[in-house]
Amino acid sequence: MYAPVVRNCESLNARDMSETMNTQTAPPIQTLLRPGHLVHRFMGRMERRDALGILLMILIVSLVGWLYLTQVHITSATNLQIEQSRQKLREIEAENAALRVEIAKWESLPLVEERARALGFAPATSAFYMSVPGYSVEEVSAWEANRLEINP
Amino acid sequence: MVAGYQTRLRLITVMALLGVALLVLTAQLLRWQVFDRATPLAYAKRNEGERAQKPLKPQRGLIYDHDGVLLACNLTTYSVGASPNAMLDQAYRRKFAERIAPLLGQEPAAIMEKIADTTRMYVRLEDHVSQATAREIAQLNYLMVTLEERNKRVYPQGALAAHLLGFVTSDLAGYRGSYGIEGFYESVLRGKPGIGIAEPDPWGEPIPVTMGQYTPPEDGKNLYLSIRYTAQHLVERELVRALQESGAESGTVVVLQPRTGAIIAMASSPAYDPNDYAKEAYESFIDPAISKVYEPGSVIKVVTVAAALDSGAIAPDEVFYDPGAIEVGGNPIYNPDKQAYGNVDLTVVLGKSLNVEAAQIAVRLGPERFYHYLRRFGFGSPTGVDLAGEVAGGFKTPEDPEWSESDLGRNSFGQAMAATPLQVAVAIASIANGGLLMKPYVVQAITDNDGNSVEIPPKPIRRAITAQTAHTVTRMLEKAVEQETVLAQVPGYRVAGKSGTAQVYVVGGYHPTATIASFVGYLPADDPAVLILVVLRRPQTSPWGSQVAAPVFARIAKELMVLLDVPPDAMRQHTIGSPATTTAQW
Repeated sequence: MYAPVVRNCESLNARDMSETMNTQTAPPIQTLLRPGHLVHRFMGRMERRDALGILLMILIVSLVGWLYLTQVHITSATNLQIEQSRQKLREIEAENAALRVEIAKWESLPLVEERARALGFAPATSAFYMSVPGYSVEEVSAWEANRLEINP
Repeated sequence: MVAGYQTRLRLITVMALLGVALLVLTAQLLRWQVFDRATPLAYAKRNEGERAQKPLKPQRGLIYDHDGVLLACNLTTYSVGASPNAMLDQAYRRKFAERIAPLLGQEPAAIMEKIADTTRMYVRLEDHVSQATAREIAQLNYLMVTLEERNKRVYPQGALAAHLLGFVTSDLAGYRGSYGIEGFYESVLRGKPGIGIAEPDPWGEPIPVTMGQYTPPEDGKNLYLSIRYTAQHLVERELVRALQESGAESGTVVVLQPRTGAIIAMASSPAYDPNDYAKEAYESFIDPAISKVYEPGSVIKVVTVAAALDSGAIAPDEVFYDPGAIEVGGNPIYNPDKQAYGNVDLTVVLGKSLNVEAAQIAVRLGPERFYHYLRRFGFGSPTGVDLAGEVAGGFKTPEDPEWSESDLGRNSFGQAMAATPLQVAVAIASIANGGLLMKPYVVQAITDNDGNSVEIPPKPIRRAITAQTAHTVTRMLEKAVEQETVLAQVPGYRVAGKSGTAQVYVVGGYHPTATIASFVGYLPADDPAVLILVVLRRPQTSPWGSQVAAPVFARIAKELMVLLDVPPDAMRQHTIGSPATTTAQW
């Protein structure tokens, strides 16, 4: 059952209502154009199913909007994570480079020499070469050895 | 029922409001997309330019020596700045200065002075702050402090191989390699900037979600040099010692592999620290080994003799008469000691470094052939070494209107011509290499961070003389060292070499006393592993190359033989000759 148009008409029975409608004359144009009258007429035509339909549409639009926003949020968060990871990578690379410099400085010959002297080592004044019996030696000159090193 | 009616009324009202809002939005969208498209498009285009300008800097390639010792690398540092106009309260500024000064290694008063002008938006407090310090500063959470990331080129070995490496300068255009390897391989080391395209927020920072395009930067390639760190260290140490002992003003040593042209070490002193290049004078950056010319002096006699032998103008066993003086083109030429030696062979000519015979030989050779050979040995044109700033040197030829026959006589013993130490080394190295002139090089491999590697093979330039002539000249030089240049001898190794003593050219003639003393030699003479050229400018203890440069050669050569693992002649020949029957030698 749908709600009738007229206010407080719940108290009227069907006959009374039919009489009222039959005896009713057309309202003047000013009445028809009154906002309250228009709302009344629209509400009179609107049914629960229509309202549900509209609500459903709103729900669908909201859902789509929510999905979109969720995607945007995920993308944004992922981009942010990527950006943070890149930043982290840069920082680690920078730390790595700093450590490399540190290592190179510690490996520098003057420092190694100083450390060796402090440990009691002395510079070698000459080198002794010896050949080992039975040891296979290729006939490779110094130049050949160096060339092989450059172009293995 | 009344409640249901009110519910419906509220529903209708809300829907009406939503409908109106929707209408407004639709109308606005219609306006932007249909009726007034130009305005948002103009905004978009304006922002487009901003977005494109987000370059991502590449890392400059690293430089390693032959054995992988790091010679040049990058360090991330930070510039610390502050906004005095955000610190109006004196007490607050003082507290700020007291907290940040120890981190920057400064006194609080110095910081206070920098931030004293509270009308300024920005002052720089410190440059080149380390990453660890920057992190500590960031943890202080001062909003008015900015940390600007910067890349700094670092040379961990300090002044070692400074002239070879060069350095990196920074200006408005960015970072750029200057001099040496940094300058020559700028395009290889620099890398390629990447780009991140994103819409900027009001502060100009990229909005991550709008990052439409991200092209990572392509880091510069890494270079592996033929330079050996230990050899370079040895050469620099001995060069400094030589300058101290001889009182020379400056000096240069070139060590290269005659067979390949690979430069094993090359140093000039005084040097500079490329980490602090800004403190040095411009002249310090010029590498005397490749960018400064000198008159090579008697070392050129080797070329003169080689050219004459190769062309057949003289015979290896020919005997020359030395009268002590000769006139060529109206210019008198004397021996260095002004003595006459009578009948001499080529070994004596080279050993005693006789100018008169060198001039006689050049005259017999004739200008056309003499200058042809000078060019074949690489004089008058750059060697093509992969270092920035090489000069060609030069000499006058009969085509020049100013040339006279006297130039031929003087050129024969290395006067009136200009050459770089590297040119001289490369020319003599061609004799050590059986007559084949090799292009000198410093970079032997280029690698990238993905593990790809390109080896640079040795490159022959041309044959300067025949192998037979080269062999003959080597034997002569070997004997010359054995008989005349005792100080250049290296125990256990046969050395082929020649000293040079050139007068210093000054405006209007030659300096009466100043000389450039040099010695060039290679060993083992029968199978040269290295060639060493020592040049000392204006030595005080003795003017002669055989006296001041030869001992430096010997000291370097002796240690180099160990570093390069070249056994003494006896051991090497014994080993190669009968590997299976060798016995211990003590």
